[in-house]
Amino acid sequence: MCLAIPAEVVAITDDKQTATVSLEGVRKDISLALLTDVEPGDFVLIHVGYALNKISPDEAARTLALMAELEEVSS
Amino acid sequence: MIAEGRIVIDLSRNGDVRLTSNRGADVARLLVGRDPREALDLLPRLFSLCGHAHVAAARVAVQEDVTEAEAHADTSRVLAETAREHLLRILTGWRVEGAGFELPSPPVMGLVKNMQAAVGDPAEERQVSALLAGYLETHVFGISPAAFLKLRDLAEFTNWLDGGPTLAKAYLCQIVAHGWQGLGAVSTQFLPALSGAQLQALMAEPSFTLRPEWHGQPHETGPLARQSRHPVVAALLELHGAGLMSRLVARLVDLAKIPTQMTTGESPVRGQPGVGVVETARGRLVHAARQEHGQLKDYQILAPTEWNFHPEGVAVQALAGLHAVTGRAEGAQALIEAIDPCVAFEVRAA
Repeated sequence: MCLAIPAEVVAITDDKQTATVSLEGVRKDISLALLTDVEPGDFVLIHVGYALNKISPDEAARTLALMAELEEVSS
Repeated sequence: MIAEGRIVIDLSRNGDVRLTSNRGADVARLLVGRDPREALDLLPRLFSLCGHAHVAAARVAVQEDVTEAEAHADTSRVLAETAREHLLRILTGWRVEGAGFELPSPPVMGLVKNMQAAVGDPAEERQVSALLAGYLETHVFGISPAAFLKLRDLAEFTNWLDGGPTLAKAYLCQIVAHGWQGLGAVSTQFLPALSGAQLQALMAEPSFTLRPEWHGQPHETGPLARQSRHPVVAALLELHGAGLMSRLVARLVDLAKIPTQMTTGESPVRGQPGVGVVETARGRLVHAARQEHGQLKDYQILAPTEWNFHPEGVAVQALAGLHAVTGRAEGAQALIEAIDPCVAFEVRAA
């Protein structure tokens, strides 16, 4: 099942097609083909290399806290 | 670090297929010990693809007094989510060589939010359904989804395919040009409609949710299982078997039905207290719960991907049939996307 893991956008290419995101400190490039109006500093949910949704920093923080809890019960 | 689910498929030279599935973290464990209402609040934040389907399944399983309004809202959101998932698979996976089809993504990405805002107002819900039907007509079918559903046989289907181009038609034509209509055809067994009591008994078995079997066999769930009786899908199954073309067209049929389902309220959600079942874009999702003194004592989630990507399931069988196919890695990619796992996957061909 695909978990909704939030990632912070740290950089965007000039053509606005690709973003570099930081996911728990690990950077990776993802496609912005499915989203508009994404800026550095935004949080997005990613799935198989695509940004799917933009979410608020508060929502991202709550989800990340939930993920940390999930990590704890799963280990 | 939270592990996202991931499937790795190794294709060896001698035709063997080995599937390794890392499912990631077990969300059901996070729900145990919680108040059922709290579980319903948490679920949409945990899943990026099928959050509403998870909520709908959980509501049936854990909430005793589901109101008509709640059931209707769940149905509407799940249908919008299913349409979005089908369209996302088409937008990101149906690649056509040398042709620049650009499907606008904002109407797809906004579909679930628009439905969420419309729920409870019949006129607005009809508007969301009409907008979806219009998008499908312009960008996917080239005719109205209702007209697509009325195609009755292979002659009418071929006529449709030859008509003015859309991304979906161009992709299907590409499959025909490759001679891949029967790619990965298998003798598949569709998962039958199991009763709530049958599901509860199965879900209580250890490791059922990791490696589900019915009568000792993995079964297939998803668009092909749901739409195998549509005349065009049935004719394709007869001619090419349960291979690539039958799967792709079954997804289109599933998608074409959604605007009407949105207005008739035909629901993909069912179940009984203790077990909730939702037909999602990728197949049947099941939640099973046991409560004691207002707390969840036990919780299990069975995702459709576990049936379809079972180590001996339909995906592995289909891929085993690609041994002698030219362009085996590309064919494997197309087949896996057609069966549609809900997690990332990687194909490694020796």
